[in-house]
Amino acid sequence: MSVENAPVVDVDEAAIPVEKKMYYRFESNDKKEFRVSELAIQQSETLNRLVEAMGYTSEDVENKPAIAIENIDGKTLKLVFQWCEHHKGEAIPVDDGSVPKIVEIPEFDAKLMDIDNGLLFKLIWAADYLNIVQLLNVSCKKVANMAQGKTPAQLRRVYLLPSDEEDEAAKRAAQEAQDPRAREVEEEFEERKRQGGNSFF
Amino acid sequence: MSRIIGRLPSSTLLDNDDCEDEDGSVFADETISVFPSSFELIPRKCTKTSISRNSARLKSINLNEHVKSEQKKEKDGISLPIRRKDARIIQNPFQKYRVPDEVVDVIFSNLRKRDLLSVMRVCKQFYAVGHESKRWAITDVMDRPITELTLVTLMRRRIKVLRLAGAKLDTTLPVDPRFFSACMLSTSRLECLDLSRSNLSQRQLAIVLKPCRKLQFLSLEGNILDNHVAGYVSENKNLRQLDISMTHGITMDGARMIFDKCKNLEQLNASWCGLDRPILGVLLDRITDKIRKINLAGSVRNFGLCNEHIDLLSSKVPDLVDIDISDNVEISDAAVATLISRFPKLIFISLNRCYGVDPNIIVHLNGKPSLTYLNVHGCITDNNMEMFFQMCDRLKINSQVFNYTAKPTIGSASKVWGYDMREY
Repeated sequence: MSVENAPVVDVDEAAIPVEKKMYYRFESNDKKEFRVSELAIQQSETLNRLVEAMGYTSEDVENKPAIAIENIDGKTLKLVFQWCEHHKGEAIPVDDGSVPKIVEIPEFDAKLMDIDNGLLFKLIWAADYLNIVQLLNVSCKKVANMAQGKTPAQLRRVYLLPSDEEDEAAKRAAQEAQDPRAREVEEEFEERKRQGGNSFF
Repeated sequence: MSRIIGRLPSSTLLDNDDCEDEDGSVFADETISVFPSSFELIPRKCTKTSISRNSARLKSINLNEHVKSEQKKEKDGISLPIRRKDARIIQNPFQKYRVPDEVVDVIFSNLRKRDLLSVMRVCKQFYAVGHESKRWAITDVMDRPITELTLVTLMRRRIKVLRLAGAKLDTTLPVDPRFFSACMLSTSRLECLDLSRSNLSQRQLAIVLKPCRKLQFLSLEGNILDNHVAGYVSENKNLRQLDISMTHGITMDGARMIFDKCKNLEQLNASWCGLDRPILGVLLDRITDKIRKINLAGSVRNFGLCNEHIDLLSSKVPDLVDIDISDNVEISDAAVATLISRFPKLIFISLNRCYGVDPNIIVHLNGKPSLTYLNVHGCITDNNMEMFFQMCDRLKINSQVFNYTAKPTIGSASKVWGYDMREY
């Protein structure tokens, strides 16, 4: 998507800045722009601090370029801000170290997180990066729910995890691909091994 | 070697993904979303080759064509000239999206311990994260068969409350000496440890008790209490409740070590652990006035607890609330007189089967204002019971069957020293 015809995505269409509320503009790494209310930003500690540090007035927000969030793409950022708008003004839970955390997934969040694996992990990453405690809790709970009552083999299948051996084999293969000489050496080694093996028969 | 030879005849073959037949069982649970899109990441038909014999021929087959379409998706652009058998590209989402270990910890802190265990068996990263999880703070291994290796592993987790009561330890599988010595050097943050009925060997006791420095509650019921074990116990200066009932092997030196260092004891249960007069002397000499409940039942016959000891106790610990001196034959009327005149805060007295005490003296306990519960099982004959009840009308006679001084589990089995052991 090019910069010129980048559409301005209004996350909360009902609340276009008519009132005196501050609306900040953010830009994802694929140049999508979002308008987010001040209250919603408070859910994210990282953004809240950023905004405080910048000290924008409402004119500044309109005139200066949107605040760029470099490492999150538009799709994910949209979900994040949708969540923030819905939960704006709610108290941020304090981590009291109690385990297991008792986390309930509200209906809105469940619908919001009805997304594929990749996006969900991106969402978790974004929640961690932007320090949105409750979103992190809820999305982690969602991932954890998938693991309930599964055997390790089933878990590998659910999360698409390779076993350690496969992981190492893949790494080795990748290394060999980068360094063809190593592969030749290994081939020679295999050849010798085979010859040695044949001598048994 | 045999594996390599076994693969020789087939140089190329299609990989019938052997996991596929599991689909039915894995995804039977419809409520859990399965992320269909990511399944496309697994190449359905990848080529499995072996580089053992016809490597020249194999090189001529261009496998890159097959993978090309997928490689475009990948940013790294790693090209694999020949696929090794195990080198399927499965993209680990936890690595692909750079999920940090802290977040993995948050994810899995939602799980029950049973599920956490199967997660830990998936890969090394998860094991490392799960091993450090706070989820283990309260761990219950009651009545389960375990090995020494399990013990060593448990001691390295972040456990605060551990119940090993009745755990059946496998003695045939000794742990690797390296693990053992590592365990001897480590420290643990255990605060509550219940070893009752577990019958550990000396070596296993060393594994469990040596790392402990912060214990507040400890039950050794039924285990060995030799000088080594006493040494380990004495390292815990904050010990508040100590249960050494039914242990064997206590010596004067052992008692000296424990009671010299553990000066914060509030409850002590030393019933039936073979206390003789010298050990009792050591114990009562070093006891502090912080003790509130004490159980000295069943000391050595004819060489155990006697009236002088009760006198000594009354001068040392006047604020005692609960005393159990059952099954001590040498206790006689003088001791009961001490109990009546001293100890102004005493609420519970147990004198079960103290045959040296005259029932006519026991009756005078009715006049002790603080006293509420009196247990005299076996001291009064059945014929006289009626009359005894009438004479001690103010007291609750024989209402308690067990003495729970310093015991981890009182009544409901789901709690250990007030910590709920149940899983949610």
